[in-house]
Amino acid sequence: MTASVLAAGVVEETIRAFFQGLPIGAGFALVAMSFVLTYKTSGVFNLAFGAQAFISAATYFELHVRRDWPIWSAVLVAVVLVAPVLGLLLERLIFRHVHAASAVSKLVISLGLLVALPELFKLIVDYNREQPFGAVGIIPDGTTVYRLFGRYPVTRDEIAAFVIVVAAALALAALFRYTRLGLRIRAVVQSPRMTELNGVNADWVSSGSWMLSSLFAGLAGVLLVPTTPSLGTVLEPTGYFPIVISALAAAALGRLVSLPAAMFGGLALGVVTTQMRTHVPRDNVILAELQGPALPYVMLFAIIVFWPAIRRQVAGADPLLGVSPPPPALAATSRSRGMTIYTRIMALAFFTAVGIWTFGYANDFWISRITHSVIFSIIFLSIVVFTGLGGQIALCQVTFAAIGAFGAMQFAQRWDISVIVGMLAGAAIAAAVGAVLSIPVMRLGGIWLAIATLAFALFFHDVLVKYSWVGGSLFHGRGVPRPEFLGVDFSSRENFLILSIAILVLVGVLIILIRESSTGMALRALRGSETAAESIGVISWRSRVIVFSVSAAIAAIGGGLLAMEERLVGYEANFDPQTGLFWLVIVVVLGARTVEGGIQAGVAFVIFPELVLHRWFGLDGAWRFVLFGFAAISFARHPEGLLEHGKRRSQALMQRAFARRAPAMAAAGAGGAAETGEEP
Amino acid sequence: MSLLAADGITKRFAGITALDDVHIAVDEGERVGLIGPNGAGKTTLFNCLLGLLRPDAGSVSFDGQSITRLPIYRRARLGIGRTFQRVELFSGSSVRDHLLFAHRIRSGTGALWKDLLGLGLPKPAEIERCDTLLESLGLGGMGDEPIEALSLGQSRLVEVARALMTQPRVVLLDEPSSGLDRAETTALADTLARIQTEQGFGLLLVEHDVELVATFTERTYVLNFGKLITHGPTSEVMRDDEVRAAYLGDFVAGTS
Amino acid sequence: MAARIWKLALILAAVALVASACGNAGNDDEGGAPAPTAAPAPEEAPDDEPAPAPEEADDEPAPAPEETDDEPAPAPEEADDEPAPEPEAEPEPEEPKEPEHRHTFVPISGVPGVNDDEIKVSSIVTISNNMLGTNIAAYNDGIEAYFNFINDTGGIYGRELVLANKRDDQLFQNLAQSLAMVEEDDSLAAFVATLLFFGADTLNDAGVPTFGWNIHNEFADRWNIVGNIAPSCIGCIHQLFPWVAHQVGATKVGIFGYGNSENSKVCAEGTRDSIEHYSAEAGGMTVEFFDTSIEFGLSGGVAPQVSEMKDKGVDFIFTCLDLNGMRTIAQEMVKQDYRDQVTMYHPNTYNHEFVAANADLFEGDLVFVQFVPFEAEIDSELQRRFFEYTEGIKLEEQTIVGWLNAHLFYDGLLAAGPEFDRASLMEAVRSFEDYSHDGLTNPIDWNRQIPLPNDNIDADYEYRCVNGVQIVNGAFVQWTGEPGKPWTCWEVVREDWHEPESLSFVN
Repeated sequence: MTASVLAAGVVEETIRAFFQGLPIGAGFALVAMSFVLTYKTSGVFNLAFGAQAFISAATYFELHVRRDWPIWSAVLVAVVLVAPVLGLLLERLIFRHVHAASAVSKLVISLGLLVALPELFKLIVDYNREQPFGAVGIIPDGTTVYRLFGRYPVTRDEIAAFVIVVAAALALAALFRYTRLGLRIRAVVQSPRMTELNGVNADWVSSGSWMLSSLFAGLAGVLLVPTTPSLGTVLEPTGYFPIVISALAAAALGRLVSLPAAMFGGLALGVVTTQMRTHVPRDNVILAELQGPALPYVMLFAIIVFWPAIRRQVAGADPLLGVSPPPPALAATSRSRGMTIYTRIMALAFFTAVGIWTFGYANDFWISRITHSVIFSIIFLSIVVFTGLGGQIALCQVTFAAIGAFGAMQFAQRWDISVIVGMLAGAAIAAAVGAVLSIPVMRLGGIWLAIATLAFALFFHDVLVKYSWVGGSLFHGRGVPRPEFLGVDFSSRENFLILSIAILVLVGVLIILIRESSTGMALRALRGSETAAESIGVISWRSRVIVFSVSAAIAAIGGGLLAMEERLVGYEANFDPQTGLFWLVIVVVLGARTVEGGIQAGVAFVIFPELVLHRWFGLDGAWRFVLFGFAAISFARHPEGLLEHGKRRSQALMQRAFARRAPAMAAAGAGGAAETGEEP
Repeated sequence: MSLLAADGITKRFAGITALDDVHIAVDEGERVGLIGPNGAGKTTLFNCLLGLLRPDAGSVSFDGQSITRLPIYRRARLGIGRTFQRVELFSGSSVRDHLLFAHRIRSGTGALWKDLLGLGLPKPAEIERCDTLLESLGLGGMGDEPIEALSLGQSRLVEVARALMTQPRVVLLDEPSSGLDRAETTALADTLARIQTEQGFGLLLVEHDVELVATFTERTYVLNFGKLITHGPTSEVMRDDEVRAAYLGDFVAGTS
Repeated sequence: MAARIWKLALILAAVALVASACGNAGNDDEGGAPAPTAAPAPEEAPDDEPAPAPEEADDEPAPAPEETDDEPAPAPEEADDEPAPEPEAEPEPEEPKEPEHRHTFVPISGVPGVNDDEIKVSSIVTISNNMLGTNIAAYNDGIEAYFNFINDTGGIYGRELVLANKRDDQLFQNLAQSLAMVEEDDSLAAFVATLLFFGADTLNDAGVPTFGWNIHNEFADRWNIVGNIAPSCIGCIHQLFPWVAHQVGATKVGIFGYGNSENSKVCAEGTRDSIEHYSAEAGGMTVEFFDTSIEFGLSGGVAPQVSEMKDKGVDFIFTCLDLNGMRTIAQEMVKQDYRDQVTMYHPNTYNHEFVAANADLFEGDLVFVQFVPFEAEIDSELQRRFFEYTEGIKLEEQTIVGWLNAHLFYDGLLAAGPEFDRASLMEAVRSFEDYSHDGLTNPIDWNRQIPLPNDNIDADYEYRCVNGVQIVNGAFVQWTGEPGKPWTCWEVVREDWHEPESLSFVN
């Protein structure tokens, strides 16, 4: 074969791969543009995109596939009606009221919605009464094949998606650049009050923005169905996840505000994907990963770490923010001594009661549930450290927990080393991974940090777990023995529960110590204002590494204990990245700022669905996602968590009832000091 | 040789020259003012001194060493404290916490293992110190209040207190009197003077309150459009015609 | 506002939580059905089902086996601690087995799930969050159909068989469900059809006889766990792969497996190794394309891979994928005008509705199953009863799997005698040395085939058999074997390339 023939072959392949990549890229572009559009028109980084896309797609599926409505009416309802109405509701009921909240708070809200909305929809529509198989697209005869230039096949669905993407990008870009409406939309994002002073009804504009971006999300949702294999057979919200990572990379290229960049970025990433798969050989392990599962992550990481435009995005402050009364001070001031003592006594009584019942009367099943509660409390304490103390959102706690679990397993199976040592080794590895992870993502702001950690979790899930040195292997199983040390055998349920409780107490004490001493103070200062913190000498990078590492280590310890409790590493059951989203939601709702909040979250996570939902109310377990997901909305106003807030409210009420001096509420001066809104 | 000195500082932002060959110096125990119309570049200069911005040209030195390349926290640990034009507070923390953090972070070793062993907890003496300082700034008894509950003026005072807790050798105050009334301003000035006498730090003030500058500072620098118009003993600067024209108008220093 | 209401609800819930903690003291039977603690439908690579489990037969040539029948009638009385004598699979008479003691009633106490009127069992099935695209919930239908069949003719030991509790593992939460079932202690046996069976040790260690859809061999190698197939050799070399391709005249093979499902990946590697091993005998067949870097969900599509296969002239594709993956690949092949040049091998696509709906995508392809397909010509009473009792229900692969599991359960009960318990039931099942569900599956020696046979040929089947259909006009047509003898089988001990036999295991 002569060189020129070879070269011609490569060129031909490249061109072919280009045309194969465009439809894939159109899918990325759709999602990327949806993120950008929402961010641009509302200031919210809407992770709940997957939920909105799913709802429109599922509505269309219900109407057209299950009930045989004609395409046009099903599309009308699913995309033109349902999607904007949903957006309107979100804006009116939720986002309008949290305009002053920090970007991270809004991210938490959107996470809650991502968790809650699809489940609510499915419950209302009884979606799973049959398996949701056989979803189709909205273009009639969408699988008809055409040939570009007579050689490169594309289907009607793909052409439609591509055309819509380009048309939408152009239309929207023109809207924002050349029309007054576009200007108003952007102005309202910056400062609704300011625009109102200019005679613009900011509420309408804001509602309109949400309706527009939701319409787009719904449209993306239905367009993606025929071209996304994961949605083609089973239409579930998770089917949108794989695309989200690449789409985020594309959105990042435009710094989240440029629609054309998102579009070009998406198309380009699609082409890169097919080019890699065409040209990169698969025989080498690393290359096979690089052109395959690891590719979206590599792209995302490369872009958000190296693309200069991604800096900590300083939200342009609304100059008229100070006009609102400051958010209500934490109902009472930091707890009074009386309150603290009261709480401690109640807690002691409660735990004693539970303890007596557990060891005296409970059967194996309930002991196991209680042990799970304790272990998840430990895991959730890692979130208390990272989010409560550090003020940031990390979505990879599942991964650190998995590392701890796998550590315990691998050490026990391969080298016959005590599981406790294995767990500690896993904790050390997790801490190291956390430290390494913190370096590139450190200078990223709240949103991108969350995204980077989510990407890491998905990367671990898609790329790393399958290696036998990580996730064990088929042939050896993932069995984990119970520990035995100090002459005590912890195989029995009771003994292991006691061990878990001891470790929980230890971790809790350590966290309190950290919080009250200089490490914790540095973190709290950083959380409030990085600049001011550095101006008093806080070494920000060191604090970040510490918070990442400590948080990772705690999660790993919890993960290791979970593996010991279950006697195997149930990775798919316990440590799925999607589960991690719910972890975050439940912890922030119940109280991410205190050790008690973390414990309450651990208990609620395990006990609430079984006891409250299932037994008392006979409700489907999915209701927990709905309840906690929506409760996350409260996070913006009550970052200390609902239970803590409730306690302080009752304390405040008590104080008022006894006519003690109530804490200073709204500021005396014009505009309180909290212009920047509350940080988590 | 001044304690904190900057020479030839130039900074450009997208075509606008914010600072053009500016120099400034503050020494221990000195009180120096920095005035000029809005947009003159005062805060930009502060940012360069503190390390928030890297100047395009020029150098900053502290105690004879060049600190131009040092990050903010290094400069802070060397002894430069600062307040901010737009108040930067630790939301979610109490008033006392602001001071406590500042003190603990400077005096604590910051070693995680020590913290884990409980060796890093604040001592009662430290808390006393914080309360005393709050008292002297007129914020006595407000230690437990959440910072969000304070008025702007009070918050500024907390910022000042926070800066002072780090036992700095030079303090940069960015419009400290903004939001304070006459009485409060006077009180602040008196307190600063007193603490300065005790601790001996240098003070650099950006101010719009010309009276405060006139009565409080010894030397003054005047910026306009990024350039240093003049500098020198405050009384002379106040009488300078160019300065008057640019900034003071017909205000005559010395009248109260 | 909305937030207030949720807040209130949560606080109420929390208060209730506290109250309940005290209220539940002493409720020992609260094994209950716990709701699982996972987020909805995690995006998971469920492994797909394993390579077609080559099954074994003992060396029974076509002529009927004899062990006809007799039931271990005698000694029902001492059947208390003695395991019943070894019965063998027997032919299906007009009525369900009628050993003398079938309707003998002996009062039993202390055996979970058994009272004077009923024998209760529970199932754990992935009903919701099922990502696979096949209806796993149909498994319960199969069990109930079989129980109806038995109950219609008087039940067993004077009691009715009841599927009392249908648990939903909601994808992977079967450890908790298993634990709950053990605590509830109200089922004689467990029937399990889930992806990844984490609860295996829990059930096995608690001595619960477990009948399952054994797609994951690694969870099956336990005394108390049996299923529609026995643990098979994972990733091993089989003559069947090259043989199948050779039958359709193919010479260039492409192979797909999901990288992030070890099961799928090892399956693909085994296929490749098999073809390379027997390449010469199979007409010089070669593996031109091999890809296990794809992941479940096939994000990014498979266009480049299909183009590569087309360029290389691949004419047969083996996969270890679920039916969703097959559809994606087939669609891409149609798009690239390549579909009619290739035959595909489907390990998991025995789904009539799916195939009918996608008829043009799969024309000519081969689908393999581990039981005798509905379309095979076979004289099986059990199969006839299956059709009779599932009339009106949509039939899926899982339906017959459930039916088969229930049949093994019933046979075990019969063999255990009227005074049975969990242990004796299991002993009885483990005593079956030639069990083929009355010809519907490759015979299993439950006594011998307990561990994974990967390095242990003694734990393997005797014959490696396949049973497959071809897709013609959107419907299945029997492809392996010959009329009356649907199985195509190779002797396991013979590693050389040899022609398989067509066999039937109906007695």
